Amino acid sequence: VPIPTNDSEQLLFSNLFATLVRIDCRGQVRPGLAVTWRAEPARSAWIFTLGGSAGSVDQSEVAERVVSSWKGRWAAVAALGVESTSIQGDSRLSVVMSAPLDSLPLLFADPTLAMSHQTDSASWRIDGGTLRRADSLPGLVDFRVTRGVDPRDAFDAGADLMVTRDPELLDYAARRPELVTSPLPWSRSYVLLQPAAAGPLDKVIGDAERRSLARDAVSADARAAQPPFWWDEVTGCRTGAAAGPTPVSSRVVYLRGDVVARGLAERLVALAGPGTELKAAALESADFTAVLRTGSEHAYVVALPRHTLAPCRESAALPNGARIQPLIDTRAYAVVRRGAPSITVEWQGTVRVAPR
Amino acid sequence: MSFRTRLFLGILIAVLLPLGALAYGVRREMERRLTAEYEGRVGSMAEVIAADLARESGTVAARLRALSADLGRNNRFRLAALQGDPSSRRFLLDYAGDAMGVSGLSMLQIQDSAGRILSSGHFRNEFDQLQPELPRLLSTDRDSMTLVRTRTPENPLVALARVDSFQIGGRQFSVVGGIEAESRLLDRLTRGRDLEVSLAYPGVHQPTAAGARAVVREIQLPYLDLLRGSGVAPDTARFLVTQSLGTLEALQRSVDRWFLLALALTVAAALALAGWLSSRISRPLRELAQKTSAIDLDRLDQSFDSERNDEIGALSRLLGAMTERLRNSSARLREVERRAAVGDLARQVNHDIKNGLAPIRNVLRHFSQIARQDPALLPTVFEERKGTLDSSVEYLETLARNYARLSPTIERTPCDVNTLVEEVLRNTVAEGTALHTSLSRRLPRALGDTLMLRRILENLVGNAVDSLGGRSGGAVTVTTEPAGGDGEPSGVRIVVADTGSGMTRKELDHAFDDFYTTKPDGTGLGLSIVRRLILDLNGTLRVETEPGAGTRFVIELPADPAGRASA
Repeated sequence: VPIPTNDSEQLLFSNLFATLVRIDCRGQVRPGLAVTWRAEPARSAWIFTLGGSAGSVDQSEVAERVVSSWKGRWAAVAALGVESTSIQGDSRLSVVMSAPLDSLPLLFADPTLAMSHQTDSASWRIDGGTLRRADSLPGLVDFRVTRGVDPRDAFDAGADLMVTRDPELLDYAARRPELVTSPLPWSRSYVLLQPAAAGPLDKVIGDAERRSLARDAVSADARAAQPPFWWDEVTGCRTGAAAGPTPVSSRVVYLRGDVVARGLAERLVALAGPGTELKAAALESADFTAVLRTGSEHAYVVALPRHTLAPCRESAALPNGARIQPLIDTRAYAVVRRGAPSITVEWQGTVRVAPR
Repeated sequence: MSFRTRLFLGILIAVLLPLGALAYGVRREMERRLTAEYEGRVGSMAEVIAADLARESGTVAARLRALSADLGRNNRFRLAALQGDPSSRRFLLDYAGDAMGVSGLSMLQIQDSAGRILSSGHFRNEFDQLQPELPRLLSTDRDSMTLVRTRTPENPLVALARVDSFQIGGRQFSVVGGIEAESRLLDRLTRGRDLEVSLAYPGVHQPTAAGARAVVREIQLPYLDLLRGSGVAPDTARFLVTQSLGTLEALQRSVDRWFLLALALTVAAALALAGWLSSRISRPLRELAQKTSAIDLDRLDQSFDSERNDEIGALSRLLGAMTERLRNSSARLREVERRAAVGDLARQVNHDIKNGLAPIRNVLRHFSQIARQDPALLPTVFEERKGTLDSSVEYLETLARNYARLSPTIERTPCDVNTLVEEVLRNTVAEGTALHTSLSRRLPRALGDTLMLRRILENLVGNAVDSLGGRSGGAVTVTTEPAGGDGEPSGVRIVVADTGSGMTRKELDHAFDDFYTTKPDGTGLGLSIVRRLILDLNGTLRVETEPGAGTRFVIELPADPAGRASA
């Protein structure tokens, strides 16, 4: 089960894969594959009773698939604190944690612990950019990738749902009475990340600059970044990123294609003044990931999830000891055609198509 | 330094000097003409490019005027710029970028009267930054084009910039725009592959083609560097119109290659010519030198005949004439010697005859006296004095025989020297002396007289035997061998060697004098006769002797020309 890295993947994966529990937009735990759950007296083991949307199938088979799926990626699962898992009876799944927990750990809603709805992976097929799924949900849901195509064309062609951060598209949707636009939770935080040895670029950023960044520098629905920030609370994580060397470049790098990151990087360069050698540079995904790990650049504009259930996993890709200066929060919008199937919005802004 | 080397160097210098002068002249003339042509071409091109720059600048100015007019009428810009309308702020920030794309400019910046950037096309997010010096400096001469170095988020930008302004609500706004100069403008300006247009501004070195010479013309423009840390001051940038002299250098390299090829061929030809000439000139000279070195009063038979018509032939003929004169002089000298010898001989004969006749006269006087005084005693006295008469007569006969040998008659015929040697040794009485021969089987026949040759050998062998004085262990060796000529012998060499007492220097000096002898009963005519006979046979005689070690007489006689082949 892949971890989503952008809005498209998040929309797609959340509908393709299921977790034991879900967290709604208010932070409340909702049933997923499991309909009930309880803790053992020591609270280091949790018993999940399977059912829910997978109720039409044999629950013992679902339990076996959960166990099998987790064992296939045990390192990632264990990194979340899972010590062991076993099947109890026909529909109960026992999960032993490495440390006792007072309440149901929300991490059971993390994509790392998700699994496919389907028992037969052959039923998935991709046709020319269209990933079609025939699942247990009533009806048929088409997921279409619109990269390289004007997304307005998709609406004109009858699309029911679109998740977007494009102001132009939102402006277009607002002018179409058959479309309803709803803001999703603030789901992404853009931060300025500087290796420990880099010059203090982040010192020039105050609240006023953050507001200006959100208002003027980026082309998105943005606000000045607001605490709390999960990266401030990360402790005891085993980071895989090495301590970076002294930065040798004078670049502020960002991921190519991320227009918000580009606007922020360029504004930071502008604020640094003409007397500096600082300049903005876009890097491809692989290059960006590589230099982010080594910490060889002067500064990075990085998009981080606003919320995460696995802060250690998120922080593992960041250079050790780097300074993180929050800049802005952004959110996406769900554009829904009136009369389309209802949708639910989860804690991190994920949109799920509700069963009819 | 050998003659061949000097000849080689001489030829080389004689050819290289004009060849080098030719190559130098061709290179220089080529460079002069091509450089002049390139300079004219670059000058013309610089004028065209300057006109292009002015046209581009005019185009920029026209677009800025159009933008200023549009901004003056634009309500959203007015609301954003004057009223600070938040809903129009994004329009304001994006305006320059959108307008820049539409107008085809590479740089566009809108500033308010305080120099605050309201909107920037080339650097969208530099809004609110202060840059008042840019429109101010550009406004000092609004009709001139200026090169501006500013920045984009990623890289510095050098643009050919102009400024315009407009007013809204009594407030002044500036519009600065331009086209990118380092690639876009240069691409437009560049014409032709060899003609390069580049841009040089302070702090940036713009070399021409690496290592290549070039003709360069400059077009100067005012220059502003906004990236300079401390203030902005007007400076000068230059468009460099560069014509590479690559073609000229390629031609010169080609000339150099051909020159080197000609040089190599010249060296090879000089070597060959020097070798051929030296062999043609020095070899005959060497041969002449060898012949000349062999000339001697006793050996004037060298031939200097030559069919050459050059200096070598003339020299050879001169040497031949000189040898002929020497030969004639030698004959005359020999005749003088002969006559002198005859005079000496006559006096000697007179003396000897007188000596021989004196006893006879005394006996005859005695007989006359007895006849007058006592005729009866004549038979007795006759018997007593008959011995004296016989002795005197025998002495005179001996003298006659010896003198008869002094004037032989020469009859040159081919002579088998080896046979003569064997006969002479066979008839030689040599008690206690060993006689040896070492005769060459390839010995050619000698051209001479058999009788004279026999007398020569008899005298020399006899003298050799006599020099041993009957000592036991002594030996006389006669050796024959071919002489002269590289392949075919031209003479016959006869060596008569003994292990006798040898001769002192003084004895050697007089050895060939008539009547000089060291033997008690010798006549002193043997070696004298031998020398004359050898000379009469056109031969040579050489003596090698050392007191106590023996003597070697070396005779060389001409070989029979007809008999050489059969030798």
